[in-house]
Amino acid sequence: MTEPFPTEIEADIARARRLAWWTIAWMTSIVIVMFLAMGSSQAMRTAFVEDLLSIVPSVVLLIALKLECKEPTRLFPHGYDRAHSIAFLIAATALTIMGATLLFEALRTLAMREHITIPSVFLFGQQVWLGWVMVAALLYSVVPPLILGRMKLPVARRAHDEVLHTDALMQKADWMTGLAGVGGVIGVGLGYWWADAAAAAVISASILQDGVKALRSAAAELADGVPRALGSSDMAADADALAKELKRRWPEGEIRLRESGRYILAEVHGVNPPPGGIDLDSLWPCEPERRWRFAELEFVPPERGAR
Amino acid sequence: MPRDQQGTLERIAEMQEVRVGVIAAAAQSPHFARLRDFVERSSAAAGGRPRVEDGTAEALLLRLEAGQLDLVVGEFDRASPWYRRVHLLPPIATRSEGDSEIEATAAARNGENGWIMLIEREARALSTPS
Repeated sequence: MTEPFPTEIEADIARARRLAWWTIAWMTSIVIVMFLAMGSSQAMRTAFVEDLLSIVPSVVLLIALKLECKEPTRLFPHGYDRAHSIAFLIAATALTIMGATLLFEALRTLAMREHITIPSVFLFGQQVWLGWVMVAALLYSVVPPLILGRMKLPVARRAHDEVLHTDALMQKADWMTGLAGVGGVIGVGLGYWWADAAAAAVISASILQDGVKALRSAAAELADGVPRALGSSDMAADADALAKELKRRWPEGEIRLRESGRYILAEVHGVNPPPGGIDLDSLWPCEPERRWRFAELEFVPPERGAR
Repeated sequence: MPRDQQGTLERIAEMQEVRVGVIAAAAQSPHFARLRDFVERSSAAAGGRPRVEDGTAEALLLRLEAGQLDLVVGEFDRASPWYRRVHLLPPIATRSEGDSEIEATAAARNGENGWIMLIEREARALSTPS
């Protein structure tokens, strides 16, 4: 695990890096456009804050990938694989905070029955309802996240990258927010005062749900829980298969799996280390191209007792 | 598009009347004539005649917020907390008073986007650089 990245996922990591840079560039341009067209629309503000926060996972992904490459040091003898877990926690926290804040704001607007004003602007001497400018900005904000999010998902799956997966979820939230925002602004234009805040509430509830799910997985990973499937709090299928395989090999032992970044670490308790060592690849029960996931196997002899 | 959330324009067309509040102190403003023009032009554009009443800013803005008036004209300080509770149009004219910039303009009820668009057009036609 001290090598930068397993060969099987080197290309995916490079692609993840490129996608993160593209995301930062596109989302920055979207944030500027949204800020200029925002006005007092709740759905627009929701979309703006969301676009702003959606840069966070890409930034932490780049930092985490840089740290993951670093050699172990005296103070960090296990290397920096877990930088990835910390990055995942940060990305998940950003998603959760964003969902909760926006939901609160939308519900408050609905409860206060605030009637929002979307005034007009004068462009090149012509009066234009600001709502149309907002709709144009929102439609612009939908396209890059839709494309980038779809490009990120398969890479995240292959490299088992929770941060990139959360980033892809954030992009999904972005384009959903954009479309719902269009509905909200048009609803206001049609005279429905609640349309804008209701759209914002629906979007933010969905963002909050994704955030909580990601936060649970991130916390589980840092608390040495079993490896989780991407975007889920259930045990990952490959980890489950590995646990069964280890149990089959050492039925007298207690199998404990945990995750460090994208890697699976396994312990077999109550069993002495087999003489002559073990070939980890021969124990991997799933697709060979994902063998890199299984990074460490440790045996804890019976005399050490259970902890 | 856009339509009013509380049907101001429809009500004006039906009653042929725009309920206007004029802040009493506005009569002393050097821009009072322009505010009067604004009221006339906006009312005509909406298909009604102005029914004007005078009062203090606080009393008139409360009535505007409650939907009992369609428009309040006078001099406003944009730092006022009312700025959030009603929709203040861009200034038709401005003047300085100490450190404050006083705007001669109009306020409309929030959410009446069709009506606001109409009066913004009339305000712009009358506005001049300060």
